Amino acid sequence: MTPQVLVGTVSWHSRGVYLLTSCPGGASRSVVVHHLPRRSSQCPFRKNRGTVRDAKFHPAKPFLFVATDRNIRVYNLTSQGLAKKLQVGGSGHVMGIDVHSSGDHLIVGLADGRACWFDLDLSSTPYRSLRHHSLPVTGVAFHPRYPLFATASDDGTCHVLHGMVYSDLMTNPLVVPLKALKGDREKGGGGVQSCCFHPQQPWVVTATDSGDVLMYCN
Amino acid sequence: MGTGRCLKVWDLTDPVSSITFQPQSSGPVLAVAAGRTAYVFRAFTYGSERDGDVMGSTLQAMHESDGLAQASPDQVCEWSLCSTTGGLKISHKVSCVPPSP
Repeated sequence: MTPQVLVGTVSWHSRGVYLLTSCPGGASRSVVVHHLPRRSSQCPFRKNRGTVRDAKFHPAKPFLFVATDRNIRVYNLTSQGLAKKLQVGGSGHVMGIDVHSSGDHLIVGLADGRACWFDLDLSSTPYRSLRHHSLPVTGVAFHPRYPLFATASDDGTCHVLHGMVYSDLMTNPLVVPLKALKGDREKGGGGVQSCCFHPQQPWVVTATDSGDVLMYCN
Repeated sequence: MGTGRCLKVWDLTDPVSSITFQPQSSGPVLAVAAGRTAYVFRAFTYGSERDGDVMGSTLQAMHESDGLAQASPDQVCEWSLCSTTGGLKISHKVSCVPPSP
């Protein structure tokens, strides 16, 4: 049996030297770390822990987030061990993740239409579970500068939310829905497959099933 | 972004599943996942690149080694130069371990 290794996602380390690829059908080679200057690739894991949906580096610390169908594992790359295991719960499997620029918060898009916010200092279960979408959440993204995040879904909408994170550990993050961006689904277009923010401006860009890329400005 | 005009199209044959810009680079460097391959290339070149640029030094090293990275028996990926994009092509080798049920 030879499983097909298709690259699902690519993700950079914040310094731009390491590149991370996740291959859902790659078994023990589902996560591969590439070092550009050395031109080398290595698999950090030996065991197959399930179908890897997404993988991201921590923006500042030597941690690696690996999202499988049912949970998100946080690995410490220095001690080469599992640091934390986050449980999404519910019935939907993980579609995608994004890490906040502080590295202490995580949003997860799920196939059952939920988007879960994890406070990594608080608990291994979601701090908030948002049910704004009727169909699978295909993409999630934090804004790198503004307290904003977005969720994209197969239902053809992209929701922009205010997600304020406080440096005070006693104050919980503030999550407020701001805007539901309705694409061209009503005009016969498809669902939204992905979303991302402009690096400086509070603008969100979405990619739809119909092949359109839409940019929404404030 | 200002005009909404498409400036460049790369035909990578396989369907693109993920795309992202490299952070902290002197020019716009893209990483694209398509099929079994991850492509890393400059979207545009603005004259001379900044000294110490990761992409520039990696490409230079690839050219000096005739377009191939050092081969090792346990190599999980094959690195080569991509003629379509003018950047790097990282092909993932087929895994020999079947996924557990």
